[in-house]
Amino acid sequence: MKCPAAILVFSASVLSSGVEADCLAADELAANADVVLTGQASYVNKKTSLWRIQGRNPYTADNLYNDIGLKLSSACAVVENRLDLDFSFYGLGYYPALSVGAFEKDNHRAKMLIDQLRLSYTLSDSVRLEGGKLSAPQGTFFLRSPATLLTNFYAAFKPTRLYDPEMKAVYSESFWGARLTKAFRDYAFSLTVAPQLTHIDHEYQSSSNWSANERSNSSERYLLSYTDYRLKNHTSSVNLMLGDSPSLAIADSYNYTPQWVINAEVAFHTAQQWRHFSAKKAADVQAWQFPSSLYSTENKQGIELAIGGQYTTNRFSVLGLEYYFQSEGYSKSEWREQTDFIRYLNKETGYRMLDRAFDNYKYLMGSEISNTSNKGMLQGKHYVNAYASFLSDDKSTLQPYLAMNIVDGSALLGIHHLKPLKGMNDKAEIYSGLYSALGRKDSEFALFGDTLGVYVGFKYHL
Amino acid sequence: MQHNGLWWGIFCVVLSASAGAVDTKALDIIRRADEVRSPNAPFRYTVTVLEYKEGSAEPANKQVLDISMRFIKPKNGVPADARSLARFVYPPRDKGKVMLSDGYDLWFYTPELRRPVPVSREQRLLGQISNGDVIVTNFEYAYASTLEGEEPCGDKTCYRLSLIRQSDAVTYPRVIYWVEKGSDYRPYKAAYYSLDNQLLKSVLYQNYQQVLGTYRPTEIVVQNARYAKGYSVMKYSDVRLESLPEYHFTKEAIQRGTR
Repeated sequence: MKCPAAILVFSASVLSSGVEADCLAADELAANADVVLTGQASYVNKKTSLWRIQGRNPYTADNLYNDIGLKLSSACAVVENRLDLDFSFYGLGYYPALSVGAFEKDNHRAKMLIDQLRLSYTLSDSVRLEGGKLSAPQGTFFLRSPATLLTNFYAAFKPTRLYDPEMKAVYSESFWGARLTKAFRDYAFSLTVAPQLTHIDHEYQSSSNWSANERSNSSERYLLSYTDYRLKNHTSSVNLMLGDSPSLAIADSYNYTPQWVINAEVAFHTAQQWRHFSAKKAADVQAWQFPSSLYSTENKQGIELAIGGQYTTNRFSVLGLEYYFQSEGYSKSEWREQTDFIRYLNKETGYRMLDRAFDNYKYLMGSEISNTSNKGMLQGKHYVNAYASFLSDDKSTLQPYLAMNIVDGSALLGIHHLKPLKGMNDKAEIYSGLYSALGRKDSEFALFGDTLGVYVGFKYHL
Repeated sequence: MQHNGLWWGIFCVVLSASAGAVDTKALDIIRRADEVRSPNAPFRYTVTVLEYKEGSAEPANKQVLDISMRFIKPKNGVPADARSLARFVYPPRDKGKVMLSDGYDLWFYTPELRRPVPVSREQRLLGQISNGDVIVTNFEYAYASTLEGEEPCGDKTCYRLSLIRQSDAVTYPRVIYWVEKGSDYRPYKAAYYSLDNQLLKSVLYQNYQQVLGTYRPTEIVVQNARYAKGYSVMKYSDVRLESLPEYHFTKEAIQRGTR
């Protein structure tokens, strides 16, 4: 917790230079407050998968979940035109109708997320220093943005979540750090520092059961970003990540017309971005040597590439298509080594101790594979993603999407509908949707079983 | 940079025209009326947009925006600047949406779109109101004006002015503008026309109240000629002088959250 302490010292020194009392008196905080209550019920059906724990399916075939979320956010000026405070907290909880399976158990069914707790200090007309718990900016691509070099892990629960699209960014743990930004009309430059505050002790667990700092500040990262707006119809940027895993990314968004935008991003990495299955360590297990981990990150150079187009209608309906490639994605044979090893571990040896050890390896593998996607990463090489958002006159939106691993043919698809309710002072919305993960049992998106989920929920701005 | 150039260009047109055959009386009226419509310094205000359907006294829809204006005239080497930031604050579901206006360019950002997208000023925002309507425009620099005469307006007499846009980037090609004759130069009405001289919309400036030391219109009633059934009202409140740092008026900043 070194970072929060530094922020307190920083804020104290600023406060000593002159304080406007509005923020501390909470008037402005109350005026800017946004309190949102979200409730959701969902039904999930999962087919059997490759995985067996104690000879049984580690997922419940059918389950019902009740989720609840409470958002509290606000902002105020601590020192007028000099020091601003803004924050966004979420309280989350869920309750399953039936006991969850071995792979679905969480340490807690309620938690609080600090999505943002930021002090912004205006150094000059164009320079701003931010410190606190900061959310990482999202990239232009919905599936995976190569230029988003600062990624953190998923923070919410294992078997369920709130399916409101706004929650996607919230579920990625924000980081303690600081950002210095110099922004003009024509260009912007920023330096982001995310210090290492801890290290990950529980790679064998899902990131949702890690501490917040493990999810966000387990490595040392320095991100230099430059964005240029001068080239007509182009927004170009260069990002350089220094620290434990240096990377360089170049991105451009080209507005062919005001409606049509073409996005392209490429990233060069000096090391792997996520932990890979080691066939050598798997062989060790089969030779009765038992390594503590089956996954590691190696210093292998890699490249990520994404290209896509998005069309925004005059009424803000959106249609988009993306292609994504990563050189470090598993090849067919590498992926097969991993799935073959799951099958190997499923075999009963007749020795209880050994079967238990194999089950533990499967827990470890399930967590490692989940944590790759929990970091926003994919595991294959080639993907396409299609999405749309249709906005109706009554302000309701219909959002279908489809992401597909081109190599193994597995897919994630779904549709989300959001409808504001008339009356109640425009404060209430209801949403519903359906999602599915489809593919062969040994494919990426269906590795944990073909899944069908339906949900209905509400949001109420208190 | 291109915007500075554009604004300088507009100033040059105005200045060179002033030196020539430009209607200086009309220019003076427009300038004074502009100063009534908005303070001559960076300021912030809340605009409540209400849409009324035909025959209904209650608004069918409501939208509230919190707008900061950064309007700086070129002076002593300081370049001109005309930017504004419109934050959506009502309905609550719209919080986080932002419009950034820079010269005649307009950008819209919502977290769903990931990046600011260019939008047109003519694009409908709510009811009869377009995106560009909620941002106060300065007629003096955008239009070349001619005094056409005087006409009765309500129980007063108004100057009738013809305004022709000085750049294709200006939303409306032609405006007929009525400004009350007298010491206050209160705008009374404006009628916006297309290139082929078709009436697009008319606006009435109403409910004058003392705001920042001057009587200013706090309600603007907008009637779109194409949607004659019904009308929309923009109500201005909480007007105060506030000079936010330039940082806030950038595409970079609106993606990081505005205050």
